[in-house]
Amino acid sequence: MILSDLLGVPVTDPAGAPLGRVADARFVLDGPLDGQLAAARLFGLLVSPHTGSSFLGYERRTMRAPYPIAVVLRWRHRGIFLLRWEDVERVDRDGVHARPGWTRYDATID
Amino acid sequence: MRTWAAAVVALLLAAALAGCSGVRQGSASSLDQAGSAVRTARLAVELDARGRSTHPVTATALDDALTKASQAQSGIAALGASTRVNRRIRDEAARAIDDAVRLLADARDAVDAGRAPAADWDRVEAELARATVATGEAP
Amino acid sequence: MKGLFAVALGVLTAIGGFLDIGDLVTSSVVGSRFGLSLAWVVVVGVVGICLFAQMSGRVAAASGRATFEIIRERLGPRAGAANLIASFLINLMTLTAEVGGIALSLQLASSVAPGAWIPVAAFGVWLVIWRVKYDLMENVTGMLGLALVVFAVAVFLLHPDWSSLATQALTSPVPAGESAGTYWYYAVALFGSAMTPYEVFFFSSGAVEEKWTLKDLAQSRLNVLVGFPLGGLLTLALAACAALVLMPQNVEVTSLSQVLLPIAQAGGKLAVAFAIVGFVAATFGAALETGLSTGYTLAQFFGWSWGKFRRPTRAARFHLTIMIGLVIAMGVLATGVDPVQVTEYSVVFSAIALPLTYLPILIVANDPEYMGEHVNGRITNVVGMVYLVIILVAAIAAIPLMIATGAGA
Repeated sequence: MILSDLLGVPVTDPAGAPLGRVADARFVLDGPLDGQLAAARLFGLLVSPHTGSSFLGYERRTMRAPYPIAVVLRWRHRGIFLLRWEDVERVDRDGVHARPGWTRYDATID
Repeated sequence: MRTWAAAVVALLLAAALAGCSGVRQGSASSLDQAGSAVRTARLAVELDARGRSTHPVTATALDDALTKASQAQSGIAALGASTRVNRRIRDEAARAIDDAVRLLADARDAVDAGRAPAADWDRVEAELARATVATGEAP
Repeated sequence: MKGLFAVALGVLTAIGGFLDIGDLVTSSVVGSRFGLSLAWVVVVGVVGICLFAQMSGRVAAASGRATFEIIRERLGPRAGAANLIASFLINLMTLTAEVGGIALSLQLASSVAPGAWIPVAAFGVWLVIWRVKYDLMENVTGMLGLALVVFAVAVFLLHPDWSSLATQALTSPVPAGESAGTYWYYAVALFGSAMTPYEVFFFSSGAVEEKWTLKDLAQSRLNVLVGFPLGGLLTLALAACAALVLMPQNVEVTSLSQVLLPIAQAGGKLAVAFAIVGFVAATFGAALETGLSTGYTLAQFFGWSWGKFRRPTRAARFHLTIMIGLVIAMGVLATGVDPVQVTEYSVVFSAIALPLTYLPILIVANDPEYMGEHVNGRITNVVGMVYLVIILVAAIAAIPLMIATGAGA
């Protein structure tokens, strides 16, 4: 699987109700040493209820300017949350399915 | 979303149709184009005669002017005219433009041969102006 | 002393680099039809290109990355690809116009038909990109392009009525015989020719090529802030020459040869020679820049190794892209299409693509991940947002205006 298979794909909860689309993926560098860096591990998906387009970096709290663009993008992505990769039951043709008991994490980071 | 797109298409079509022109406007714009070419050529030849311009520049300017006038010529030939008045307007414009093309071709040949063109600019310009007035459209 | 020389060289190169076939043709067409009544557009365009060129230079210096690498990262693959395709095609169109422009300029020097010059021009461009060092290439074409200063001299030699020129420039009337539609169509075209996107691809990639660091930023800012406005002044001089000689005779500029007639009238053969040297240098320089930009955009998007600072074998796909771009440009020109017309369309399509280039730059220049403490200041952002609105309006208006006016006919 490559990242392009996930971006923009619809996400549903265990009952099949739509949650949004995958706007981005978040990785952590805590894997085994790969050359000089730790290997990246997929931590979770950013799921945006209203759009599958990119958040362009505005999920970070430090990214606030230019003000009008930040406002528009935050509005486009209102309700965005982080779905941890452990909370993903399966990915198939219909999209990403969340596991029963999944948690909605805040997507913003510093 | 679809009605919105349809509205945009309709608007663009309307704009395109408004841009389309009748015989009068088509003749006027072809005459304008040919007139601009003739005046360009005249200026180029005069500058050359006064020793202010080089031969390649004059030759190129005449060549370009001839190309533009020929485009005007084929533009006017393509105009369909349904009424007798429109046909008369178009034919008079076409005659004036034909004359302009002939004059420009002669001038170009003269310059290419290294002679000073003996062109009657005034007559051709007057013809073009007369034909423009006949179209009744502002140039 | 050495520092002063570097600044002078940078400024001079920026003046030469600002002008290309788009500016030569568009400003003369506009001058012959509208006089100086669209002068304000040049001012707006020059301020815009200064703002965004220096912003993209700062991004390159702070992050060590060029525009398209960052666009690809920030927009994601899909939006990034759409952006790439649009930018690449418009860049290719501009390259075609510039190669055609070289051929037309050489025709003015030799009276040999441009069809014969096109392969020579394309081969010359390829050879220089392949062999010649980056800064040498930039400085030589920039300096020779300065010969276009002859247009500014010509304005004085034509002894214009300065007060009527100034009135025209300041009151911006729509001349009799022109509609509001054509006025605004050419406003968009002139804006597009001043802010052509390749200038930014080239500027930011050039910053990486020359291995800029933050220490070089002050100088680059100076080059841009002095060089581009002086380039804009030459654009206005071109328009003024056409306005003074061609407009009163009701001559409408449709070819490059007509651009020279005011110069011949004002300064005679010597001035004509200078202007032709300037034409060749400006179009050749811009062909190099757009040729490199075809390579830059594609290579940066796909993550290939790129740049003239690498040996061609180390950046094979980058050089191959440039070669293919030149072959396509030659093929298009071989159909006998008028390069002046290609130019006129290329500046309008540039205007349409402007938001694709400038929005990502504005966003990235605010991203502390890339920029650290060198993010945009508040004033830069306010002006940047104002320009984004102008750019969006111009981009949206371009196609309806083009259809409504029959491309300015």
